Amino acid sequence: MRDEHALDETERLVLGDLLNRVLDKGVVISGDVTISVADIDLIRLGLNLILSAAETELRHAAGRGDPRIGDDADPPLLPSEPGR
Amino acid sequence: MPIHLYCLLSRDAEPPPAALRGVDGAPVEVLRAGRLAAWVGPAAVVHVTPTVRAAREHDTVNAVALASGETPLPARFGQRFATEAECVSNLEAREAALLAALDRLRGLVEMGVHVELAGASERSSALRDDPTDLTWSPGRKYLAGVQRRLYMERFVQRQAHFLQQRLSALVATHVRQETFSVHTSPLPRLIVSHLVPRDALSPYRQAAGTLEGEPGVRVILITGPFAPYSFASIDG
Repeated sequence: MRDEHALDETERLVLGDLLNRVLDKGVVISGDVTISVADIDLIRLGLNLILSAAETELRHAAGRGDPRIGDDADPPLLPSEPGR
Repeated sequence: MPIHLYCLLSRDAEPPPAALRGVDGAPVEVLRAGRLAAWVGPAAVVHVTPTVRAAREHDTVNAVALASGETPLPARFGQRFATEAECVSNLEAREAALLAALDRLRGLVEMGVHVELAGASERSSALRDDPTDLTWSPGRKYLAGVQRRLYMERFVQRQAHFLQQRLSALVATHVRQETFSVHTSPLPRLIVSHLVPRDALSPYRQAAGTLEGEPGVRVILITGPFAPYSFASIDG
């Protein structure tokens, strides 16, 4: 059990590390990077908030045995659409 | 058709493998702009919704580029253009800076050290269990909570900076550049990124791993090699 918990912890750290690099680093060619939520353009999102929320969600998902952190998972990293 | 930008390489770099797939399973192709070669892929929409899968797929393309032998200049996720012509125009406008960045990163890769700090949770619990809280007014309890949070943040910052300096000393001979950040939530941790020559990865890992014996380290994780996202800026 101790080893399984340690493995989950490592998976979360690795994924959090990847998200931090890919979403918040890297060369920017054309000014602000624009990503969208519910078809609304959001400029200069508070990516630290997104990453923290994503990490928290991943920890909760792992705790309840949610497979959403697996390779086939595709959970949105931003808040759900309004009204949902 | 919109295109998604993954990374940049020199014009003479190897093209992506024909079987390589990027975000949403799209093929990866080369788009030439002056003396640059951009790895790009067709996209359904200009504004992308970030997901774990899409982030992984973006990074996979960069990892393949890195494995080809030439260090790519990785694009931040979400760099999309309405047409290839728009992408080429933007790249050519910054060609000199982008080529300089490729030259600066040649032969180097990014390594990461992720340190989860020990002691912060225990200290926070000890402060929270102060029995005098039960007799305090709501206002005083609130201020005490603020005071505890500030104390813990200062504790985490001091601990993290000590470990960052210790790590820097351990790996100094193998590192060209360093950047780090300290986080207090959801867990107290130090995240360090290093720019390391490809032929120094083994001694780097060995040196960085010795940090595990330091007081204040709960978990240490060494990751990489990655395309150098943390050192890819062309500003300034």
